[in-house]
Amino acid sequence: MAAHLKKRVYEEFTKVVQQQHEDLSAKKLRLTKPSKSAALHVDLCKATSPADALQYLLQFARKPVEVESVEGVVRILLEHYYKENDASVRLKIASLLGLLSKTAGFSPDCIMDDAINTLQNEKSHQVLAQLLDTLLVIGTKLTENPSVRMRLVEVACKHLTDSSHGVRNKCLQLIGCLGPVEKGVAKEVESQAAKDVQKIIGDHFNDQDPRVRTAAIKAMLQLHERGLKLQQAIYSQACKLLADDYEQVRSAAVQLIWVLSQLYPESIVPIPSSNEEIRLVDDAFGKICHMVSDGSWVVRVQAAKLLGSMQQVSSHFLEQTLDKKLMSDLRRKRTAHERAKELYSSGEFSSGRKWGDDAPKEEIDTGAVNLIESGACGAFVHGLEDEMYEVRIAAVEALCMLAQSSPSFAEKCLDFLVDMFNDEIEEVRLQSIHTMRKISNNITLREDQLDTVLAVLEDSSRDIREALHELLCCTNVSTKEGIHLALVELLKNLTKYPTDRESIWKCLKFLGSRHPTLVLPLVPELLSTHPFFDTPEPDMDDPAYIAVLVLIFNAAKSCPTMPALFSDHTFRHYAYLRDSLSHLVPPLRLPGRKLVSSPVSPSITPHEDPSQQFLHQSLERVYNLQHLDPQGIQELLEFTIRFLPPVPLIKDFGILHQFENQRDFSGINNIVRIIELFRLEKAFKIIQYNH
Amino acid sequence: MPEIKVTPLGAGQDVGRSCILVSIAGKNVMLDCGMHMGYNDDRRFPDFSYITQNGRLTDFLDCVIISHFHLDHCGALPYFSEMVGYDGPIYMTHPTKAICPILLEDYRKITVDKKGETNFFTSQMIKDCMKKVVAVHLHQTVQVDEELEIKAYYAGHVLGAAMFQIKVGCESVVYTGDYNMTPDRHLGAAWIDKCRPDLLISESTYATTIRDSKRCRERDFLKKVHETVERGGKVLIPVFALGRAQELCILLETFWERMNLKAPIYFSTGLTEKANHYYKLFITWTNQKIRKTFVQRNMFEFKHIKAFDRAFADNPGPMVVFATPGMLHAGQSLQIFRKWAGNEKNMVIMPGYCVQGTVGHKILSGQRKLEMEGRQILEVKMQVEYMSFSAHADAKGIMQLIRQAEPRNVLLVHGEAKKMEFLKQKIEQEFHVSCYMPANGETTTIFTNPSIPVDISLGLLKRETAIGLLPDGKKPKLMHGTLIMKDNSFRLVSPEQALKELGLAEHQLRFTCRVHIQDPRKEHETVLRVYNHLKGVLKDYSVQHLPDGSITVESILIQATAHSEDQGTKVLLVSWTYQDEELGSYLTSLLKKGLPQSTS
Repeated sequence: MAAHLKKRVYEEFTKVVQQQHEDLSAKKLRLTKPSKSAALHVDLCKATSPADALQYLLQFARKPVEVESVEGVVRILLEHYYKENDASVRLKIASLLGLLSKTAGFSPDCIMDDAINTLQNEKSHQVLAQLLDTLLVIGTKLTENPSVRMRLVEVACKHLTDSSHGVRNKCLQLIGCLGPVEKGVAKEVESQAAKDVQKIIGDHFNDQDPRVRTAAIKAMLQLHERGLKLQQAIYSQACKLLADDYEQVRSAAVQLIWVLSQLYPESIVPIPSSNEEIRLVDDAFGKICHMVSDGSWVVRVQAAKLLGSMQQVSSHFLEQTLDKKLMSDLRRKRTAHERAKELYSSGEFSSGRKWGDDAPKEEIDTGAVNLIESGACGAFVHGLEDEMYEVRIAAVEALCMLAQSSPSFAEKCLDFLVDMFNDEIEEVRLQSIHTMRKISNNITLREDQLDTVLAVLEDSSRDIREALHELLCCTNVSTKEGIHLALVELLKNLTKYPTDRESIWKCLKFLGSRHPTLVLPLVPELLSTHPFFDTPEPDMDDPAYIAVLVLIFNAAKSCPTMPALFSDHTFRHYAYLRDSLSHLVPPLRLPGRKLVSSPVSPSITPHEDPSQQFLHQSLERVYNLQHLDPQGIQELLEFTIRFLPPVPLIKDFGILHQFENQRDFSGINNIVRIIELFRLEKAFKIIQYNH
Repeated sequence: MPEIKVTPLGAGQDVGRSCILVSIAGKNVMLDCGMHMGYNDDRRFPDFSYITQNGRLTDFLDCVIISHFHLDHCGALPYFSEMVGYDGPIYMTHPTKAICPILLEDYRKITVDKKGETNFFTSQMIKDCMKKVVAVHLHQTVQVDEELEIKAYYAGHVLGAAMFQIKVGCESVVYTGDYNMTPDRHLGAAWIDKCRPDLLISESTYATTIRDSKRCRERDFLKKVHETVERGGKVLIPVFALGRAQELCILLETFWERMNLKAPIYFSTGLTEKANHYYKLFITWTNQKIRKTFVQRNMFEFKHIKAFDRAFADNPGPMVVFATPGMLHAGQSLQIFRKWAGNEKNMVIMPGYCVQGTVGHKILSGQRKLEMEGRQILEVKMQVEYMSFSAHADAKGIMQLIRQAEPRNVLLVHGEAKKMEFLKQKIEQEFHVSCYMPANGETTTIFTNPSIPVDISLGLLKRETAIGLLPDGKKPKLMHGTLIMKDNSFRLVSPEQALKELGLAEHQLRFTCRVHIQDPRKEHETVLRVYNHLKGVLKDYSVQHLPDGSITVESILIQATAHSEDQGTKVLLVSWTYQDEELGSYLTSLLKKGLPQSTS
């Protein structure tokens, strides 16, 4: 019922409107539906106090307005605007105008003139700012019309002298968004305002209000984004803003400097207080680096982020960022990183045993110590040690980007990244591991670094461990000890967290295929094979054994000599794994091995080689010793030993094991002698063990 | 000229017994009131007789500020307030107020009960002294009296450490106490805004050191502990109860958590336990990580770290023990050390400096056989490691703080003279500000040039800013108004209002000048000529020809009369008020040149 009544009321009012506004656009008046504008008009007329009016407007703003009635509504609003004495209501109307102009499909050029007119007589600063905001909305909808834009910019320039920061703020924003970008257009329209938008905005870099200064810088950035080439002259102005008292100004200024450094990287700028000159990009880099130790963390984050994208900077400056000249009581001290490196190259692995191991060495000239660096010195050292993890993450990201483009820098930043693996915040640890992965093409890990990296494998967070596995996938290791270390740590990881199985296998797959030559010398040890003795066959389902095999098989793919070191069960296991875990085990070409294709009993094969045949026969003879008298045994053994073939060919020693089961066999000592003869203590152990 | 006077009673070119007197704009403030660890006689406390020979100190000091709870910054406080006599306010932060009495009590116990001294402050005195303390929050501006205000900034270093800004009118001093510019595992970095004080009083413990990244040290520490535990060894970490102990606890706790380790960690009961309780309470004073995660779990509620019992030392298997004191000279840490020293699997990690003569110092210098009491020889087979965890700003950090605060003068305390010399030279060179380093008892006077605030009426301000260009913050601007100095306040008002307020009648000052012009024509024609001439020259001014035959240029009146004797000479009477002096004199000089012929 209520709804019905309401509708009736609306209909009535619609008629009223038609009578009142006959001068308005006829098209709109022919609406048959109860129009929104009508209802609004009535509401506003009814409103007795500004508070009421405000209420109506607020309610109205909640509902969407159809495209066709927008203009009508705008007219009504404007009419009320002129009548309204209360600033807050006018403010709301102004904001509604902006909202309505945003309506899709509505072209706001018809209301632009009205909006500009209202500006002329407005006294309240807040309303003025809101109106300018509305104009901005209108302007952004009509960007393709240069004359409209020109007009709006002119209006904005006029209001730049306003005493309220809000108005100046909006004006600058408007100029930034709508100011002419193309040089040609600016000349055509011979307007004072259009001539040099950059100069107008630049003048407000020194405004007394920090908000206006920020807006000016932002407007400049906006112009840049829209394609205007900023002048290099702004650079010196922007540099001054870096020392501003307010963080938002500094933050924006850092951005501006970055933009300029990208625009004019090769320009030469003078260094104040000296006669030298440097490239602009280097100077800017130094300045932004300086901001990494700013007092406000917002600025620090901003600066650290931007550093990453300054790839044109010269390597000399870049490497300074990781350099923090240490000193202790005025004597130069080496960093822990340098010490670690030296220890490593001197062969001694870990230290710290001595007090004063880090004792300073040479004296420094007091005059030469520069505590406040003008340049990039130590920026990343500071950034990575920052209190806020946001800054640390930004610094790690920046390191990553810079290292990707500079291999020498990548090498240098490695120590710092490795250090970040122990950060207190997991996010930072994760980020630094990912970063390291991204730059791992450029670097080779030293053993001590690898050690630190691998220590993180024990982390209880699965994300961290998996990230680390991924990192290991694409790391370059320099020594076979490194590979061994990695394998051992990964196996440790596997026993501690068995769920990591898949990830570890995958990691070993890549580790193997990247370092075939380093894996090769490790194969016998890893498979615990022996030139003479058959070792017990490992459990096929042991994840650790599979892990080892995955490493070896992938290495064997590009190392054809490796399969020769495999024992027979290895081939069988290969065939099994090739079928069951085909994504981890590559196809191998195994010369002379039928086994590969058809895994049958190994006993068929060994007889092909004549030397092996001989060995077999000799051993067969030894086996038959028990049927002879002691004297004969002695003779036969000596004979056999004398003619035993060269060592490496002896592989099939399985026959010996058959003796070992006969404990009462008197000639066992002689067999031991055979073994001693070949100086194979290890094999000896195996025999003893099997006993 | 206004001046700030600074006299260190302690910590002037020295470490220990921090106590600095500051007189600023007629107010006297005492910064810190510490004891000296190197002395056991009268020299251990600052010489308060410098302030006054007889009587209580309350009349001479407006307030006392304590920066943090270390004894070399607060150790003399009960002596000062109760034995010498001071009843004024003592300011410190909340954590300092909580922990300070524990340490003072401990200090008293050692001096009185162990060493048997008699003339020393009592427990009651400590309590009475703490009653005079006013606790402050970070960044809270405390009005000590009508003019003097103080404000605390975060300083890192230890829980509750603060830097203080002391401000009277436009003059201000910042005292840093001890601070740390690099964050650690439990505290953040010191921070100050660009407050541009007239004087920054900074500590300078590490004036000549630039330190390595903290991460390397942490990593080494963890690695060593981890390795030892893995091979089944025991790790002993001798620490002092407060500060580094908590940092290392957090470090190990998180590492254990991360690595899923099972070996037990213990810390010795007593002081450390009490202190941990306060660390749990003052979460807002810790670093970002602890503050953020405390909703889920308070990091100081250790999961893996348990209280130590004497019997545990003989337990088999790996363990880590934090024990006091830090230099292995007595107590629990020494007991445990003796038990474990014989096994090469074990390890002792010294996280700080050791004074000469202590067991700690001996083993760090590589001594392997120690003579214990009773002629016993203790052979040290366990591994000995040294790791420096220190929480003072290094040279770079000090420079960074100076850059942040932008002081006009710097004064260095709490450091060795030689090292200060170097830093002083650097500061003067880099920032172009003067730097001082007074010795104890030496007064430094700094002249300030304070700006004086003047209230201006809004009407006048609006009127004056409307004239001319947009106000520019960087440039001085000329204003016209009347300055009223009354009741110690300054006001700038419009002349009309000033007259009204002071009940004075306005006087007008007019300049009148006669200019003789040779012109035979009639008076009104002369006037017309003058009018046309002026109109031509002064295009920007309103020139009017009034019906009574006079001309006005703005407010300047020009009348012409014929000379009484010579009719060919006309006398122009020019009259202007002193406000229009500029225009008036310009006009007369213009008229004196005569009228151009062409205008006729």
